[in-house]
Amino acid sequence: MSADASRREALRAAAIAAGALAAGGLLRPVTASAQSEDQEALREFLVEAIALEQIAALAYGTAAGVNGFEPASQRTFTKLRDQEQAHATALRSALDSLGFDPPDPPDSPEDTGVLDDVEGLDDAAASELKSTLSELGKLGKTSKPEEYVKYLTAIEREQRDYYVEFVPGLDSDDLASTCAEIVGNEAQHLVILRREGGEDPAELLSGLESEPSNQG
Amino acid sequence: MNLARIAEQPIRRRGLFGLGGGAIAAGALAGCGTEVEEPSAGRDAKLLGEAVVGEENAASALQRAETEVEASERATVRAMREAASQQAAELQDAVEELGEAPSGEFGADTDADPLAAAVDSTNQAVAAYRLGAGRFSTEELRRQALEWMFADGARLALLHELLGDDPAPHPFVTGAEEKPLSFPDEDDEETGDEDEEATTTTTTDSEATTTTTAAEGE
Repeated sequence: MSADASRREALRAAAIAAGALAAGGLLRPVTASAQSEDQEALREFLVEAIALEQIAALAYGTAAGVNGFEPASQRTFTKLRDQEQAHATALRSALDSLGFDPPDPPDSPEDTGVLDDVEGLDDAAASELKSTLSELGKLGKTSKPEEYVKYLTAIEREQRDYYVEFVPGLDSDDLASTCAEIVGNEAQHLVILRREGGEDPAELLSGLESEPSNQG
Repeated sequence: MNLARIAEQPIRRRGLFGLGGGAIAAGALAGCGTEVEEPSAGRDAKLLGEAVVGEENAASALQRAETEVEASERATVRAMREAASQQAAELQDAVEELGEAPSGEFGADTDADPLAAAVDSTNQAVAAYRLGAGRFSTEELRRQALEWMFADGARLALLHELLGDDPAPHPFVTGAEEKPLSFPDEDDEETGDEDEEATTTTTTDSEATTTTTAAEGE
């Protein structure tokens, strides 16, 4: 299956998930008094998280096509792309259950326009996301594999840091638990990326603070 | 959405909220009018205590594994054991701050493969972190739960590697043992197969009854 076809399939899955979610009441607030302003906060959180996950999915899909990687690594990146898409799908479903539209996924690193005028995404966040997306475009298909590993590591850490910073303040225990599940998976991705980059993944075991920076 | 229908059929879980434990539980709650349990120090202590047991047992299993693995793997196992012990100590402190003491079944199964036992024990802790991330009564504990989850996600990846398994088998790390929920693909009505989009289910607590029923239907 081509990368484009696979992405279409993943997006179709997102639509199915959104339909399934229509049963409603799934972003259960911790307190019964949670109302529209809480929903607005959830939307802002979800929109940025979805955008990050969608960029990560695109990045893994791009890396999977880089000739410098071994075929086994390319297959691994394809799987990790699908896992990122699964995260995005879940979060898109959550956003849909709130009655908001999710941001469109970028078709390519040049497709920064999908981040323009997205409801729930402020200008600063949109600018940062565009920058992250553009960095992927600068790598190109001829870049060295280690440059991709560095980029993917950076985006995994960006996602992890985002969840750790904002999830504790969310007024939805279901969503917070789901994000915790995603954080656990991002840790697994980082183990794989460290192996790929020739670094010791055991350094990730003791948590966030002791992890050395792998960003350029 | 007909929740009863979903519970009866093998489904691939794509809509996390829609088809996971939260969703099914939400439907059940809506049906019977049950109140959602409010966060409390007592519940914090219970979840933290469950995590202490998981981490302590993981550390015990890893200590045993250190003597059994290849020399080239020993440093990794030792690092995992030290991290589990450190995490257990942090959790113990958190429980004591709440004026409680952890209780549970401490002690590794010495008949089991120590690495596999470490996976099981780590999953027990993961299940507690997963719930705690949303349900601990303070933001600080909820943040800590995410950090512990991150550390345990890395540990699970390394354990799976040592066992010769996929280090990241599913997109969601839940600590749950039951099979992933799945949903029939429009183009593929075949049942019981986990494709690359399949994910693990989400429940380990009081929501588990309904969700486990769904999983066992596979």
